[in-house]
Amino acid sequence: MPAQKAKDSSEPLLNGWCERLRDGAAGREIAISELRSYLHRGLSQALASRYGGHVDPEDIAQKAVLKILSSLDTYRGESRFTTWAMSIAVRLGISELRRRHYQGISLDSSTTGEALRVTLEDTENGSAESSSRRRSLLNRLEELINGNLTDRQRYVIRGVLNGLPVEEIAARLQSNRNAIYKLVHDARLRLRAGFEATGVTADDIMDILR
Amino acid sequence: MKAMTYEEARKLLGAVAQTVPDSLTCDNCFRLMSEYADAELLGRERPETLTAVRIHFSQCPCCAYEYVALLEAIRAAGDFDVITSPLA
Repeated sequence: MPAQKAKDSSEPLLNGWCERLRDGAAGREIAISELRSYLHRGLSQALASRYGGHVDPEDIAQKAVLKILSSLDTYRGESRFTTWAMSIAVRLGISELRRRHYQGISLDSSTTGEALRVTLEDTENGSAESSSRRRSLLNRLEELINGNLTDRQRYVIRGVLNGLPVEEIAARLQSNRNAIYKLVHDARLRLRAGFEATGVTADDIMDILR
Repeated sequence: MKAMTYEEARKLLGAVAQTVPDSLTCDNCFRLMSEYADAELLGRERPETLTAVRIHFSQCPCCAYEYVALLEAIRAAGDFDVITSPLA
């Protein structure tokens, strides 16, 4: 059935997008216009409810079209062309929303090299034993953060706890998203390994936090 | 450096407890995201090669957030390829 066949990403119908969008292709301007409209429809919905929605979806759609046109050779046909194109548009839109939303918010004003303390307030709920276990867990967390993590990891962890997305932390540190995610992820792995070295498993942690 | 509150510590500990090795960078996850999305949208079984994407989403809130937004955008835009494709 034609409708069903059209949804398969291997069909020429979908791969025809690349050919119609290339320089010099017949009907290229129409294809560009239709792609822009498609992206705009999706962005208008997806961006409106996020981070205050303070971007123009038409502007983002236009920027996305330019990026898609310059990236046509990277489309590998493993998904529908329109899904691939929309992923580029959404990423652009979310990045712009984050940039505007977090504009006035800085990382912790401290410098690297400082220890990160954990306050022990609010641990007194429940039984004396559960409070004691929580305090012990938090003390151990503080030891591990300051003994097993690098200065940069402590600094980035503080940024994550301040609510900054990895993308925004990367921008403030003149780094990139991949590097900051790896720092955070590696830090978490080190902390987990540190707990397990003293016999505290992931299940123990979740049980104590309950 | 500002001290960590108890709530912040809880959040970090929860993330630590659920941390597992992750083979993907955010950029590599992005390259696979549209294939992962199509499997969900088209009701297809995901190949094993995309398991790494699911693992990355479980540990990277930024990428997971973008994925949810992508699904919402595609559903809102409608099935362009069937309805309005210039080749139809």
